[in-house]
Amino acid sequence: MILNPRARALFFIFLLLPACFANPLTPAQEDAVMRGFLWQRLMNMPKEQRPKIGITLSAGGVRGFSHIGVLEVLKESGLRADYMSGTSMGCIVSALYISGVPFSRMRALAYNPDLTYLSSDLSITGVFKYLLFNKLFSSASFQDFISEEVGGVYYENLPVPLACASADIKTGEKVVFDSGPLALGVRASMNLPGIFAPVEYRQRYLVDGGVVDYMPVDLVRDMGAQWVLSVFALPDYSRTVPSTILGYILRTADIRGALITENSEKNADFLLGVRVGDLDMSKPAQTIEAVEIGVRTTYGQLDAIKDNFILFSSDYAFK
Amino acid sequence: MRLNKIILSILLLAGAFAPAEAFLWFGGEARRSAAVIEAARAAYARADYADAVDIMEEFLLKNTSKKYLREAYDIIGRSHKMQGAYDKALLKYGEAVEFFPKDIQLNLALADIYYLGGLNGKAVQLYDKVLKLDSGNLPARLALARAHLAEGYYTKAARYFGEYLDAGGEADAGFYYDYAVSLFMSGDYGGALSMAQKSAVLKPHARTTFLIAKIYKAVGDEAKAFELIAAAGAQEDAGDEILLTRALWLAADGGQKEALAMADNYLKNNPQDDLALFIKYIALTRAGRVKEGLKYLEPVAAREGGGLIRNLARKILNTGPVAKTSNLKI
Repeated sequence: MILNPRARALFFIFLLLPACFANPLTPAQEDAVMRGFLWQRLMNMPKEQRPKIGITLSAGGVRGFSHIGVLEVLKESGLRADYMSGTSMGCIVSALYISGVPFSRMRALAYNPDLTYLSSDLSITGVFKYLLFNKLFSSASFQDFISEEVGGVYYENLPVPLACASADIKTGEKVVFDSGPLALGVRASMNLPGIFAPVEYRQRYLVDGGVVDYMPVDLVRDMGAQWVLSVFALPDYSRTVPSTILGYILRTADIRGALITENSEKNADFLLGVRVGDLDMSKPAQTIEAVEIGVRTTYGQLDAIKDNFILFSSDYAFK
Repeated sequence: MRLNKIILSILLLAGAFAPAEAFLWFGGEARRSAAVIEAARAAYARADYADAVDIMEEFLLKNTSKKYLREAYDIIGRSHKMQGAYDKALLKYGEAVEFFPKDIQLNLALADIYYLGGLNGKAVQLYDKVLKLDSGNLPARLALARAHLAEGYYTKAARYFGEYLDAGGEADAGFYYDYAVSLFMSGDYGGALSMAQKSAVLKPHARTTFLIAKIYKAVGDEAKAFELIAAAGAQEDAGDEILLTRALWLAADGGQKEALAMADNYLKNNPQDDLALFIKYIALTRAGRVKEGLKYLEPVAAREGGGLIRNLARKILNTGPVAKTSNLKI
């Protein structure tokens, strides 16, 4: 059948019509398709067939509650750490997480942070003794509290290897806990100098690891992590000046910690900064807000984190 | 005389407690206000939104009583919203909520405008406020679920979808689909499958079949996943995303020939498409034709701009990987 010119024109228009109305994906949509596919592929791979993942949680005092929100989102995304490390609050949260303490329990602890968990000396008498006789508080009851939460487990029996940083106040050395009772290592890592008496262990006098290593990226690298996500609970001093002795001690520790962290930042593959402002521990809504800030920050950066890991693992992704 | 004085005293006392409007022209002001409100309602009902706004704005200027204030603000807000003037609706509802901070409908209306305008954070705050005022408010619960889904907060979205359903909220295919997505993204594959299947029963749709395929892929049932994505692709409302995802799956896992054919077909109409070119690379590489495959990455890597696919191409070709390494400046 020979078509006349008009019919031919209509025929070609008919052929082209689907293209005219086709709705190709945008580059961002195509990236989402690729990201979803490769992320699932990599996360479902046995760990021997992909890069080993390390997660480091920084110190940060009550700001460290934000780590709970970060881990919630990472777990939900399918990311499983092969190694973890932490200092101070980072050590507490990673210990609870690896030991299988539910997020609901961690949130409950965040909602109602009870200072007596830290020390049974935090009473009027205890404060009196501290101020008048320089008698530091004991953090032994905190070790009992953690031991109860994690079921008295040892580092060696954890499903994910964990290392916690503490400092020997006598020698200035970093002392790493990656074996022995988990609760002891956690206590040593958060043992705030000047407030709590040092933890005496094997001729060491141990205090908060933030003194020497605020964000222990090196510890997960040493354990074997090839790709490291580092989470930094950032302070924001812009609006407040401390008004208590404890406030000044904590602020000084924060400033020093931030300076120490500069090198660690460069050693991570991805640094997630969670901006948590100054928090008032006496207000439960603020501490739980720290958790929510952790959640929202992580959701906001999740695609970037995934992309970073996918690019790092490109040699593995198509095997 | 004495009785008259008593009656007059009683009347004066009663008048002291009566609303002021009752004395103005014997209730004429109230009647005029009612008439103006009625005119605005009529204008809104016949979709003359501009007229409704004008009537109510003038009313707000001249009106001294609080009686119709709430409705005036609501009519203006709704009229702006119907005209797509979300910024004006936002202003008006914002003013209204200042006058009536505990009014649930006004707070909901303001929250809806924030949500439509993409200001999820503010929308969520207001929906939360409504739930604090009225814990059984189903529209607020559903709106919170959708707002959290939009911002990617999947666990919360799933929680609110679940609460809405448990509280007896009405659920259509769209509801079950959104609930399924929030469950899928939060890793609850069993729950996601259940909700997605409910959605599919109510209203079959390619995107629902596609979601079910992705769920099966996530749990490792490859056979079922491939079967369903093919079925989704064959449905009338299937889009390019389903087609390209299927090609990607095939390229990576045993269907290289078919993947190449699909990618070639797609490239006929979209010759610059990054994903289709990358699919060709994957298929050829998996088939052992690596050098040939790399050629398809060259135009992708050479394109300007970032993005995962382009950066992957650059990384593989060693022409400069660009991965974001932090949300902070280091």
